[in-house]
Amino acid sequence: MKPKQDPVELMSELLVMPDGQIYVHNLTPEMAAVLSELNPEDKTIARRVITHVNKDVKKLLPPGWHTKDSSS
Amino acid sequence: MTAECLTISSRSAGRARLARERIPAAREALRNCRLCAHACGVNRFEGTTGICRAGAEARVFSAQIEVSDELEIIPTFAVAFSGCDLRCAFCITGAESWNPSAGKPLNEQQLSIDASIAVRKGARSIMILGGEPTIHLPSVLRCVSVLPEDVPLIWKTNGHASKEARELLAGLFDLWLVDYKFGNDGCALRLAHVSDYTRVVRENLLWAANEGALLVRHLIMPGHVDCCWRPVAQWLASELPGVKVNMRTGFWPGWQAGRHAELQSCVTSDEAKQAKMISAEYDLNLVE
Repeated sequence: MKPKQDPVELMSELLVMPDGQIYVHNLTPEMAAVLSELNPEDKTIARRVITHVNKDVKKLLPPGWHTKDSSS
Repeated sequence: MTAECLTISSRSAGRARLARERIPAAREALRNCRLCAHACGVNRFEGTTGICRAGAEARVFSAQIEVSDELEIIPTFAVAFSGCDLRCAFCITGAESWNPSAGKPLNEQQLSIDASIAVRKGARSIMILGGEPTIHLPSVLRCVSVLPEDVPLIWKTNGHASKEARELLAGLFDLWLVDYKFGNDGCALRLAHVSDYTRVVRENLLWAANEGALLVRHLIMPGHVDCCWRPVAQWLASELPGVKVNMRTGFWPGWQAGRHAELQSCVTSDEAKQAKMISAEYDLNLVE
C-alpha cells in the first residue's frame, strides 16, 4: 500500500476590481494559465505562462469562450 | 519571455559548504540578536523575542513555483519564511509575514527535494524570501547548504539587515532582490513602524551592489509618488546608475492598509503615468 501523500498546496491571491481589472499576488503557473485563457490578449500574463490549462479547467469556462490549444 | 535571464555565477560552486560552515556563527548570533537593524539584542533561545517576535526555529508558509516576479528570474521556486522585522500596513501577506508561527516548521531536506522537483518542472531559479528571511539566518543557511548548487539563488529582502547579517550572507546568492519601499523616514515610520529607514536601506543597497547582481523593487503606493518614488528614483540614479529597477504599480489595499486614508484604493492611472515620467526623468533602467 502506498503511503498517503499530503496534497500539494498552491496559493495565488486575486483581487478583482469593479472595472474588471485583476490584481494577482503569488502567481503560480497554473493560475497564470487560467488568467491567460480568460484574456488571451493580455500580454502581461501571456509572458508569464509556462503551462497550459487542462481539459478539466476548460470545462468550467462558459460555452463559446475563446480557448487556446492546450495539447502539449 | 525575455531572452535575458539570470546566470549562475562562480559563487554557486561551493556555496553549500560555505553556508554549512556559517551555521554555528548564525545560531550563536541569536543569543544577542542583531540580525536586522532593529538590533533588539534579545536571546531568541530563551523565549524572549524582539520586534519580529521570532524564536530560534523558522517556519515556512509557502514553497511553490511562481511566475509573478521579474521575467529574467521566473519561473522561480519561491520559499517564504514566516515572520518579518517590518510592519508595513499594506503588506499583502501580512497574516503570514508578520506571524513567525505561521506555516510549517522548516524541513530543509524536504525543501531540497521539492526544489529539485521544481527545477525539473521548469523553475530556473530558487528564491528565498519572507516575511523577511534575514531574521531566520541560521535556518536559511541550513536551507542553502542542501539546495541544488546548479540553479541561481535569489535573496529577496526588505534591505533592513545589519552588517552582521550581511557578513553571514556574503558570497551565497547570485542575485539580491531588494525592496526599496519608502523615499523618506517619515513615511517609513508611519506606515511600517521603522526608524532610520533611509540610511539602513541605502547602506544595504550599496553593499548588495558590490556583492553581485542587484535588482531593486519599488511598489508605487497611492499618494506616495512624490514623497516616496521620486526620492527613491533620484537616489538610485545618483548612487546606483544603471541598476535594474522594477517599478510596480499593482498596489492593492490589503491587510491593514485601511488604517491609512491614502492607502484605501489602488494606484490611479494618473499616478502610474506620473511614476513612469519620473522613471524617464531619471533615466532608470526599468525591468518587468
